[in-house]
Amino acid sequence: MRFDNSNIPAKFSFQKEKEVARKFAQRFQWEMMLIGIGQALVWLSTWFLVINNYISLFVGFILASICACLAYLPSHEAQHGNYSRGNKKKRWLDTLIGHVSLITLMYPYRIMQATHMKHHANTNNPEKDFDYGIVSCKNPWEVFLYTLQGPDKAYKEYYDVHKGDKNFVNRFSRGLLVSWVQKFVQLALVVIFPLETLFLWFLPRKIGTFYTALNFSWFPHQGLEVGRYKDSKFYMFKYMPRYLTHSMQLHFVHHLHPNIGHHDEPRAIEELKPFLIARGLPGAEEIPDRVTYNPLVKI
Amino acid sequence: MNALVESLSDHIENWGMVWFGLIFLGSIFNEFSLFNALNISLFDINLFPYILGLIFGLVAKYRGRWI
Repeated sequence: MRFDNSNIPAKFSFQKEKEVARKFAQRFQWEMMLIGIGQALVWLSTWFLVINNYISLFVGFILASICACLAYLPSHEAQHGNYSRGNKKKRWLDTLIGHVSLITLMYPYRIMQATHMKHHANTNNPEKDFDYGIVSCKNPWEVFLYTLQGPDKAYKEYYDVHKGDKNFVNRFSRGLLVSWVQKFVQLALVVIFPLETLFLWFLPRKIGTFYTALNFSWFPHQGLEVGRYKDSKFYMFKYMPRYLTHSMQLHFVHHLHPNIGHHDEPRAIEELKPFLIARGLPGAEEIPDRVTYNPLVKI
Repeated sequence: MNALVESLSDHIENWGMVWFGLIFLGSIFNEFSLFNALNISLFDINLFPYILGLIFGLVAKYRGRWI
């Protein structure tokens, strides 16, 4: 963790920042657990409801697409161990929610975890960051085209860079096996239920992947450099409330303190704002004093 | 066992797009009656949609990307 402390007043020291952040990294993330398991159950139910003609394929497609957009974040909390919070007896919760939540997106939890940890350690580094392919896109259309191709290109490009890390290779290999099973299941399902597989799984997961890539990887990091307090920014959209983007306008705080629970980030930012301004975080001056329940719309 | 997994992995890496075209796109195309107009039947299965899917898969494999 290399950053310049020389011009920072003692009251904004990293130690003090950590103490503030720690207060918001304690609570059990029950909302995320509910969203993760809930969307997976709703998604599974759409198959039953569509196949038995209780709802139309179109309604099923809309429901499945919403589920796919909600699928990543609960697993993301699990990737950081934010359900177990270091308690070995609760680690099964991370594993359960991490896997179940990602079924809709058809991504293996262990690969997501392995690549996401590398993303945190190397954010915006063209040679090491798995998300750099998305970050380097010039506009949302390029992000769309990039995500349509799937993640295999990024995996091939960056796997070799990190293959010296045993923990990474172990997680990645375990995830690869799950990925094969998922692909096989989808190919088996498409033979039996072709249109249902297309509209309840394939297309929704493409939509969900694009939504996730755009809001989690592109907007928060695009155009920024490498380094703590430099690689993520605060921003606001015109007319778009943060509730529609998973509050990714606040993603910067996750990169600074990944153990702060997602739903506690607004309160944490209110307290951390002076630290962020002192450190020169991009956009920090524009952070409103009150973030909790603030839709963060720029009119 | 490792050799088997490795060869399977290589096969999927090299031919995954072709299999996807044949099975996934073929099954989807088969659902649309438009393709039933051209009937190349074998054991009561219209092969045309699957051949079309296979062609898409082969094109994607040689281009290295779908779109």
